[in-house]
Amino acid sequence: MILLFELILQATFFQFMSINGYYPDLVLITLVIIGVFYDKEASWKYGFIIGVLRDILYGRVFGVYALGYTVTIIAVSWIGKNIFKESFASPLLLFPVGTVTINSLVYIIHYLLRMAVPVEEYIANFGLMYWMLNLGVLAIMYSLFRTLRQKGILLKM
Amino acid sequence: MKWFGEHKFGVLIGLIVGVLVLGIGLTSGGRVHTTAPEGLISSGVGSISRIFYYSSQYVNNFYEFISDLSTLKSRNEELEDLLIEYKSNLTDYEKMVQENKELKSLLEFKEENAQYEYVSASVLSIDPDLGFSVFVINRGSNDGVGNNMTVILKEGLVGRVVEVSSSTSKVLSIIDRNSMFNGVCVRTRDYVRITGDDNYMLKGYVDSEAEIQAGDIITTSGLTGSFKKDIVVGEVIEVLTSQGKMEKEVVIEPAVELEKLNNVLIIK
Repeated sequence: MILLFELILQATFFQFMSINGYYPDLVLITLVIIGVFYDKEASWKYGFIIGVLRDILYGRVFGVYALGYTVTIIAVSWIGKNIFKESFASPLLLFPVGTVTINSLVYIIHYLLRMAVPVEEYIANFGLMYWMLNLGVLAIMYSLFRTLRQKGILLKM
Repeated sequence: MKWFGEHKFGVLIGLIVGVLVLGIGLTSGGRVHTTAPEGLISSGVGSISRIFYYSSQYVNNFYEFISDLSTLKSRNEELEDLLIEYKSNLTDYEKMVQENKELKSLLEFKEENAQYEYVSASVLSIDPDLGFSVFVINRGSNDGVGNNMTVILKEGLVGRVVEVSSSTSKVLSIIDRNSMFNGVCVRTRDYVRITGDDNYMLKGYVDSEAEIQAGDIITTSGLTGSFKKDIVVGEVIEVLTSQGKMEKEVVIEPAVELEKLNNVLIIK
């Protein structure tokens, strides 16, 4: 439900309220946090469900984001559990992994379907402001989620 | 069996990836209708999106109003100057109104447009990545909306319906790169191939001998694609001629301010 709420926010509120067109990718941030908390066997469902919902609600081709988010959260979980542990730095280091994975997959699929914009224009969307904004929001959300998790309110152990 | 037990997760993910790749393949050419569960989800989320969309627009307008306060004095002076200019133009304007009425009756625009039946719709949400390239409206097959129907505003062309569910539809706007259609220059009758471009602009291609120029109005030709005839597309703001090219490139400003879209009309 939190992921769906974030997806709706990104399609409505952040379309009007953004900083030079940049806004936090709350869905990806939350998926990275879930990927840090859970192993891949438990986390993939979150990526799959929100991906399917995104494809249904806003996508023109069914499966692009379902595939992208599922692969991304599995990659984040796997790297998180094998390389980093559940430390404060791990989501900050795994967010770039998630960003590169989801956007590469989506771009490749769109490219194969001849729906892609030129690659240099696509990369231009990920400027300094994108990283500052998303990593800042990620740090806040991770602290919040971790506290709620430790209290047994959200994303139970 | 033992192998399946050990690789259960890998097999499951493999199957899901296979199904999704199949889904991408089957829907890559676009879909006329969505399935019933998809329609149900779109309707449910659509009503919540509508509340967020309006609230966000309200907050944004309020924020813009606050930001504009500091520039109000200079704007007021500018407006006073404009008012004087407009007063002097009033006589010309009244002449033009009369002229316009005559032209309209000559061209029988009114009769031509009256043949269409319209459905009004409101924007529910916008594609999070592409902005107004693709947006969702609150009318679907239950309201008689069908695939490829033309979406307009009184100012001009907005786009076309690309996917329909029971109570919502997705619209591909004319500024999307995948939107391609034919237009015609009102003054010279030259045909223009039009496609979407960045920054809410359109790109057009005309024959190198075409006498098109900045300020010309482009309407839909109605010859190819799904758009109805004679709907205003926009105004030419720049004509680019490159040496050795068989075509001229024109930059067209859409007649509709897509970034401020709220309600639209669908031609049935």
